[in-house]
Amino acid sequence: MPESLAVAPPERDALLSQKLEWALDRLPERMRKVLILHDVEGYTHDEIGELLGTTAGTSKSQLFKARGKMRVLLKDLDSSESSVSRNDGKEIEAWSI
Amino acid sequence: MEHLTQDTLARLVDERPNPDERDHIKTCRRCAEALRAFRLQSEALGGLPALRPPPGDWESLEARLVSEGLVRTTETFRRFGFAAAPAWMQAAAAIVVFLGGTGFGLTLTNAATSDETPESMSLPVSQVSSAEEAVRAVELAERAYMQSLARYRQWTGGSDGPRAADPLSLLTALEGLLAASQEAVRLAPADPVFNGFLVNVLAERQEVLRQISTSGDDVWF
Repeated sequence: MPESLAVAPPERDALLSQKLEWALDRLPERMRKVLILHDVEGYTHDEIGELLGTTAGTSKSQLFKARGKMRVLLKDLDSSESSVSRNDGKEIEAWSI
Repeated sequence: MEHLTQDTLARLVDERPNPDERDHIKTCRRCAEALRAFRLQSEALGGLPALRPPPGDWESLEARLVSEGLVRTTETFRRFGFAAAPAWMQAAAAIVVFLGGTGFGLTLTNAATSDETPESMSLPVSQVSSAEEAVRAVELAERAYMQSLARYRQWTGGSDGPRAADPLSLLTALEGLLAASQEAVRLAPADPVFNGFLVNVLAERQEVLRQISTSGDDVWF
């Protein structure tokens, strides 16, 4: 599990949001739209299909791929942070990689 | 059974597993943890504000909105998601700044696209003492809004490229404008500029929704 998602007390909310935004920005446009519409804004696949001019099935497929890609991006980010933390004991700047 | 694929795990975030998948998750720690990570990820995404932060100087825009009197505090601003709006919404919010600077006094000094001089379009609210003057004030407010809307269309549909043809982005921008105008009306319920602004944003939003509903075959991305 990505360490960044395991705990989210209030003081870490901003950092968690930054990480999520960072990963969202790296998704292909099509995946990002579907992921935001479904997981962030709560639209159903039928509604997303109507909004984006596709089918609910395509929306689902794009969502699953987007979730997978997000997870890889966040894991990579956590790995980079851990590596930097081990090397110099400093907090990594999320946008630097 | 082999480990579950990423697509399967992503699907199981909000769908029930079939018997084979369920049995595998019960016995495979790796897949169970991966599924938990996917669920946490989706929960975290659900906690994000509906609109996303821009890379630009949003704080200065916030400060300007407060100084213009459009909103009382930046907290009010944030409540509507503007502090977390994407970059392309800055143009939309800039219209709010534009109207914020004119709204309480109806002095359209920034109406650069107007055919009329700023003075001829100026009618301070404090000078409205008759029904005719009130009607005139509303007409001026309407004109100011339409000019701003024209600028908005120019900004969102000009040289910025692909977003110009994207009704979903336009709709989201209008949602932002709608929230701003609703807040403005709440703060200044008698202000004709803000009321005209709200009515026109609603009309524009309705038009975009109509376009979306009648363009089912179009793919925007």
